[in-house]
Amino acid sequence: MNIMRRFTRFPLYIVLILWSIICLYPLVWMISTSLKTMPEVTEDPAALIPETPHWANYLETWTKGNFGTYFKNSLIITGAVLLLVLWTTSMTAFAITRTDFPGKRLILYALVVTLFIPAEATLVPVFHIAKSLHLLNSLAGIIIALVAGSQVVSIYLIQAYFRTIPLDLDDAAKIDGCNLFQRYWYVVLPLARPVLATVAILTFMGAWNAYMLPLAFTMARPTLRTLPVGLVAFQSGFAFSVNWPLLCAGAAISTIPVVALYVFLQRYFVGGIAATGLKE
Amino acid sequence: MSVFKQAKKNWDSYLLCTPTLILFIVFMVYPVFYLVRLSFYQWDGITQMKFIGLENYARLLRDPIWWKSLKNTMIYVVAKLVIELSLALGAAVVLNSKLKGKNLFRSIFFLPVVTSMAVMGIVFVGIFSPFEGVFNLILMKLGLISQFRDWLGEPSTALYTVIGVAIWHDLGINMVFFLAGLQSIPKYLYDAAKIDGAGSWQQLLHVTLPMLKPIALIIVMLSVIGSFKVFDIVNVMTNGGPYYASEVVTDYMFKYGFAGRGLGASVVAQQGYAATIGMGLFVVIAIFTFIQLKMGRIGR
Repeated sequence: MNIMRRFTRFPLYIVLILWSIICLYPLVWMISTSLKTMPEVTEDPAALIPETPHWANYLETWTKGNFGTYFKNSLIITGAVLLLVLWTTSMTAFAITRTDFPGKRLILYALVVTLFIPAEATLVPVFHIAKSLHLLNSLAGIIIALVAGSQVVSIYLIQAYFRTIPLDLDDAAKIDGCNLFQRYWYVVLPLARPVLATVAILTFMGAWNAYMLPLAFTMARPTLRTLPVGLVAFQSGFAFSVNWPLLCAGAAISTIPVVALYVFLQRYFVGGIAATGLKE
Repeated sequence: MSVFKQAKKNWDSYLLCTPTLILFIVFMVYPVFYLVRLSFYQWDGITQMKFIGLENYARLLRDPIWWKSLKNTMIYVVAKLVIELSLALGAAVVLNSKLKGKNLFRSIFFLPVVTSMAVMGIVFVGIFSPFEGVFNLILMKLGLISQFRDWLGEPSTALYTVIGVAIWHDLGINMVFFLAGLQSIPKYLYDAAKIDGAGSWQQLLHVTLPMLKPIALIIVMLSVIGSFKVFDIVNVMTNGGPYYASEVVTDYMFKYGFAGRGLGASVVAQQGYAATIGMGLFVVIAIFTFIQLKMGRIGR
């Protein structure tokens, strides 16, 4: 029996290891190419260890490729979206789980329906609304549109968690003279840290990696580009001979922060993603 | 108590909901009406809008590239559904067992999910490129091809190459969904099955899969809706090319809406037509969601 089991497990491990290599290889190739020179790449693109690591590629991409600006934009957008989503959605989730008011049902139904509206389809209208609100000349337009887009899922996750926090706590605080806002801020919010962490990570991933909306919004404004949009523009800039080391350095600059965060906060990433699938 | 009085008493609740509601109405609800209206107009996005009735819709029905992009999107949806979800289910079942190193495998399989599709799409363009690309070299060394191919440049392979990369990116997310589903199955069911003499295959067929069904339906729904909206990877890797061989609905819409990357379709934006393509996507997603909800109900 034991031998049989080993016998069937061996090919299983081979498949698992093979897929692991496929998962990791593109990232390894990206890092290794980012440290090469162009002649090195054309000579042997498969060599994973560069002769001497060419760190200057990163400097060149950062300054001449404008990745410094893109990085700053991505950072500002992601940070602002994160804070705004956590703030607005936790307030709404609090109101719909803690109080009963006319129109609550309507809000709940609207949220369900919105889950099925493809945000991609309404991109042109959203662009024009942002334009008429004069939001397109700064990062504000991208920030606000991204916040609006990630609200529904966040409200679902947070309200599901809020429902598990006993109402007795609210009542006790009420007797002690806390108003609704104080109960939100001092009673429920501190107890909801796990779900806030989940929503924070999901929102971070969504905002940092967002492409379609920032692309549309920054079409005529290159200084507002985010990392993914800037990278694509950087690639289009090479007419026929793409400088892969520089391009890969740019890709690495965009990818390393989120991968690093994943390595340190893995549990939250996986847990958070699993929650989005199950709680809807 | 009248509704008005009740509303007045709960002013603080409304205040808490206000930021969400404003964003919701301005950026989610109003755009839908705007989209419907825009689809009846001819507009470059700058000058005066011109009402043209149903002309955009008539054009959509006659537009071979719209149908082509819809067909490609369907291929993408089905391929992701069949290949990716079955692989993800397999991975989840294997990595839910008592296997040494399963946690490490789980972490690695999930890693691509956190990366940006657009950014990794560009890296993959390098990997698949015809001359300096590693993919060709590896296949050559394994003896699978005899000459270098332009995977993203040939109409017959472009779409499938993109699908392959999309599966690379998304397999982990569905694996995690399935794992969450597997872990929610109560252990006593397996104990009962064992007592009845069921082997591991029988347990899989008669306990795991039936118990997984409700969650599997959600996973399928999320996958299908998500796949219909595919944009990033196609826009970055092929931009719909060559000759619309890998064009998908959202990317085609984007070309008319923003006259941006690869002005294949138009130099001046045709936002009315873009809105009509958006409406098309809307209808298609609505139909499929409806079918799935119905099927889910029958299955229950």
